[in-house]
Amino acid sequence: MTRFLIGRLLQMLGVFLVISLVIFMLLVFTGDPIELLLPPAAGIDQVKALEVQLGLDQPWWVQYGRFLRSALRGDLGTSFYFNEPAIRLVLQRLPASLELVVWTMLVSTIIAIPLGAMAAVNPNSWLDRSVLVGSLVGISAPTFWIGIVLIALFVVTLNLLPSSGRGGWEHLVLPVATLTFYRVALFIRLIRAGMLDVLGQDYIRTARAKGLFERLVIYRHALKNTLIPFVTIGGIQMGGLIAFAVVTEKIFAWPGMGRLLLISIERLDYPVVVAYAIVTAALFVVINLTVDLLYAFIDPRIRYE
Amino acid sequence: MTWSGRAVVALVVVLGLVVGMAPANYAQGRPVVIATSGDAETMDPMLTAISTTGSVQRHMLEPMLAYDPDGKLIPGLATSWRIVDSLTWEVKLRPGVRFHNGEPFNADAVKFSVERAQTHPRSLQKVYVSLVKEVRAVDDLTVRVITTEPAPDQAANLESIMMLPPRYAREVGDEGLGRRPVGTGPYKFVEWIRDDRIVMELNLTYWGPKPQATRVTIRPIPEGATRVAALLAGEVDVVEGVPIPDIPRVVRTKGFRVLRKQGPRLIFLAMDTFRDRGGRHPTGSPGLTDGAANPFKDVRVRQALYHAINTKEIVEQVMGGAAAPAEQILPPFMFGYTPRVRRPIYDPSKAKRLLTEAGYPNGFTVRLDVPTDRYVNDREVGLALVGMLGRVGITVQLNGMPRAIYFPRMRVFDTSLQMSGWLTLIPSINWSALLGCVDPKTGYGRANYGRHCSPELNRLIDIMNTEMDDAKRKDAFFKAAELTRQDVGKIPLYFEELVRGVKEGIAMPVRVDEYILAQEITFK
Repeated sequence: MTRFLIGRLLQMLGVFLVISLVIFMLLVFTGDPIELLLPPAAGIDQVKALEVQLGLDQPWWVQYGRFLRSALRGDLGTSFYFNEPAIRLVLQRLPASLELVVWTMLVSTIIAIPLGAMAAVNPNSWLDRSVLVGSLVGISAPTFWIGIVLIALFVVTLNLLPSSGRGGWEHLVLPVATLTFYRVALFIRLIRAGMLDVLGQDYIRTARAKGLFERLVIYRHALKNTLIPFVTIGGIQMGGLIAFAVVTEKIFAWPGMGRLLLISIERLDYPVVVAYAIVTAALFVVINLTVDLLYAFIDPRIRYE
Repeated sequence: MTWSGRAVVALVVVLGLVVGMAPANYAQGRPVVIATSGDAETMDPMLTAISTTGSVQRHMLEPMLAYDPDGKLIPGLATSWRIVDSLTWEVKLRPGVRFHNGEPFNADAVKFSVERAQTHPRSLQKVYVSLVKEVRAVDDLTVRVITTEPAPDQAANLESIMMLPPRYAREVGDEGLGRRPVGTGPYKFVEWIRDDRIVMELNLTYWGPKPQATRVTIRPIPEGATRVAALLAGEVDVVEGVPIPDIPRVVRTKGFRVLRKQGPRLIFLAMDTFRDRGGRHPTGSPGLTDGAANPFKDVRVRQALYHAINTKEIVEQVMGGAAAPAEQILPPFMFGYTPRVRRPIYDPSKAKRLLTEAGYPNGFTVRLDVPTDRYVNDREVGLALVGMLGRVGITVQLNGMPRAIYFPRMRVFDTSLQMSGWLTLIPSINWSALLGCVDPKTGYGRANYGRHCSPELNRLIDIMNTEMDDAKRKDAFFKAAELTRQDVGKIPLYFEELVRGVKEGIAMPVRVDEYILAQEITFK
């Protein structure tokens, strides 16, 4: 187990190195923030001066080398715009993103598991069919559109909820609802497909033959065995949401990480984008590790030696 | 009376005094919430040059000279300023002003603030004080700003330099200045939750007129549609930048108004008049046919383009009326605008005639570079231009790019025909940036991506930047406008309008510097 964890940690360092290099090159070859940073009053002579000030006059490998050297000392660079350590800007916004994601995952799971299971138990019933059609809509509807429609309805027309910002539970309702649409649809399909598969297996027939209650057969024996793919996809979804709920965070002015990423890419704030990528990579490593450990918990046949 | 009873009485008396001391209109004042398009980056005024950030800072921090809503310089922390000789400005400071922390505002604070803008390694405001050799304190309330060369715009440049309290700045350092601003302004800092809100409260000892808005909350809401929804739902009182499609909706809704005003941001077209032939960048002009002669070197072709563009139609159809056709480089309210210069009339047949005379009876092919996320409806305007130029036989390929890619490419002149915008409130800078010959020695040509260079015009721009006599200076501006109308070094298209949405009962001027200042809000 310890060796497994140490292996994972070493892998993580490799991932950081590759990701930071790729992102760095992508940014440097895209453009630079000089025109957006420098006041219009500045003359053409000051363009060069600012390039030197920010170190952008150097070839990319020199810039990357500098980045690596300070990264080894724990300094991932300072934002061109905020004049603050990039890593701090990213981590500052992590709690807001986590809040959104935890609620989204919770609500989606609570809705999706029973509906998906029931749909699978009664295939071709009206419930099954409406779940299938409904989830198709949920998967295809664009996030931006859902968000705008929810705002038009609940904010402008009904005046029930705040349009944007972070605060009490009422601020959470619309962004969580927007993000939940797609996840519920996805999870329902996942659970339904898994259950259909499992319900045909021999051990379910055995359980039924033993005379177990149907509910026990479904929720204890069958459902538990559909959880492995669910946990895998759920983990990926969770990581994706924390780091890349860009559209939803922008629409609802949610002060999370996605909004920082968006503005930093738009304005080519290299240090923030690189720090962001590293934090995101770390996040996925942790989530994947958790998922792997959950496998062993869900299915005792899985062991890490 | 018990001890605690006496304490209560004392407290009531003190509170009564505080309330009594408050100005008369304090009673009718109320809090105000402003929704902006983006959060401030930092509260440190020297380390930023972005206008949404400046707008926030200007509630708490003040410069010596300020702009009124129409871009005229007015006294701020200075009461007066004058030219002593061609290298010296003398500024008289407002007496009795204190920073929010009690430090006095005086010549030391001026010296400290100007020098910080000059020397801080990450300063983005160096340009405003780059000609300043020395700030000399004559006495506690008089400073002389000595420049290395004649600097007629030095007073206007001081508008950007916020005054900071030296002792506080040394105590808290960059970190503190970036997070907890202390200035002399009408509002004091309360709290800042990144990307969510900035809260400020009234400075009861402010030297100027007391604002009616007692507490200010600024909420950054990046999505335009959400900002409008927040206004219509009554969550916010003022919104910056109502998207064009939403303007009619706000106007129609009872209880809300739209405020609009012509801004100083010019949108213009520029043509490569530098390279002789089309071809691969950088030796050839990249948007023209390989090896073909560059048509833009012929002034008749440039004039043809000018005649072929129907700016009125662009303003009405693409910009939804939220722009004003540009007669010349400068907007009408700016020093140096001349009513004698008008834009040429829209006349496609004259454009065709000019093209034929220049040897292009069948037109030519060119790539038009536009940014797609920088100006209001920039891509759509580009599309309209493709159609209009097509009508006179010029085949245009539209090439849209996000701003982060667009500007670095423009900066190395990787274009033959391009559209961009420009905004400063200092007229001579507008001329040097747009039409000064590109030259690192003078600093001219920052936005002259077509590298147009007219020696005669360049001489006039030199006068604009060095002549201390306003009458002679004005003459240079007028001549430059007339010359450019003939020579067509740039094609001015239109000035964007500034659009704000407000609740009924709220009045405020729309400022040409794009700031939204709660101290200017009045309630009816």
